[in-house]
Amino acid sequence: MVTGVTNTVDVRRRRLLICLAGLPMLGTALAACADDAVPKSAPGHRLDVDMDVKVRWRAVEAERALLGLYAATLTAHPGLSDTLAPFTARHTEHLDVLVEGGPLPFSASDPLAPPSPGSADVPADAAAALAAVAEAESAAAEARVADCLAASGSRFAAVLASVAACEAAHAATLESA
Amino acid sequence: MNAEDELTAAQAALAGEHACVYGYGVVGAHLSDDAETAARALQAHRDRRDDLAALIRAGGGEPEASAPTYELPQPVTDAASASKLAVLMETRLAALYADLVGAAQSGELREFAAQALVAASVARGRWGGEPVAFPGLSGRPGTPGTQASPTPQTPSDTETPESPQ
Repeated sequence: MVTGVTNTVDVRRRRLLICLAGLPMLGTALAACADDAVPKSAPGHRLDVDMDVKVRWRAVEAERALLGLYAATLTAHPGLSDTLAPFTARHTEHLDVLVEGGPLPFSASDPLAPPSPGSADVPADAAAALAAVAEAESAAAEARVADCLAASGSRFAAVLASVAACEAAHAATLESA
Repeated sequence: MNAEDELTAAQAALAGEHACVYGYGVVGAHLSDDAETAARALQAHRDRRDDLAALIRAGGGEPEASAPTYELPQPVTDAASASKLAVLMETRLAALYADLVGAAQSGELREFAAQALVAASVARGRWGGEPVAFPGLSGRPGTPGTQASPTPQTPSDTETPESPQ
């Protein structure tokens, strides 16, 4: 970066000297100097950042959907609350960390608003309801691995892989419950 | 992250797999009911060890060999202590693979590491480890992680909930 700035300054100074040397043609020379493209500071990995915002948004929506499913399952089966409470707590942690990652420009709703139960179809049988949650966890884990591969930030990729690992363990635990 | 970090993280994960291959041999010897589960786990870690060694070699690195012997972090005398060792090994391995996900320069290595992190987390649960919100990451992500030791040779480096006190 420092080298880049120094180079830029040198180029501009050299251009200025050329302009002064060409004094008789002041008008055109100055016009040329004014047109001199001053290199703007690099925009950074703007594309990468945009890409990760989309990935993060997808992960946030998925966490909200899972929390909604848990809420709907608990509404239909209050007896499962002790079993499922630690699972929802971990998803809330995921959601917090994903939301803390930065602003989400596509946000139409408050990402931390409590999920609304009822949108999901919950089986009347408790065991079948748990199996449905396990299936949703398994699908979410696969989607987060895919997101991990799409992420450009390395730290963010590790967080997504870790979320996937938690969800896969959730699925396995619920399946064997 | 650069190629050097990538190789360091890959070698650390490989050392973790070497340790798991050794450890599951011990675990299997103490499980009569779950001997088959331990045998499957042992094979899974052998396969992953070989795949990771191949990836390291493909990247121009020389895969590190296993240590001649490993010191167990705690004595394994029965099924309960064997399962406890399995949980500890998978917990540490998850941390090494989380590091590798972050350090990987190629999509292939990142995918391998992510799948291995998932597998370690599932295996940890199968051996009775309580699920955690962020397997492989110490505490909440965003805070600097601690490097978990792959080998059971350093019992002092047991910053995990399952570690013996």
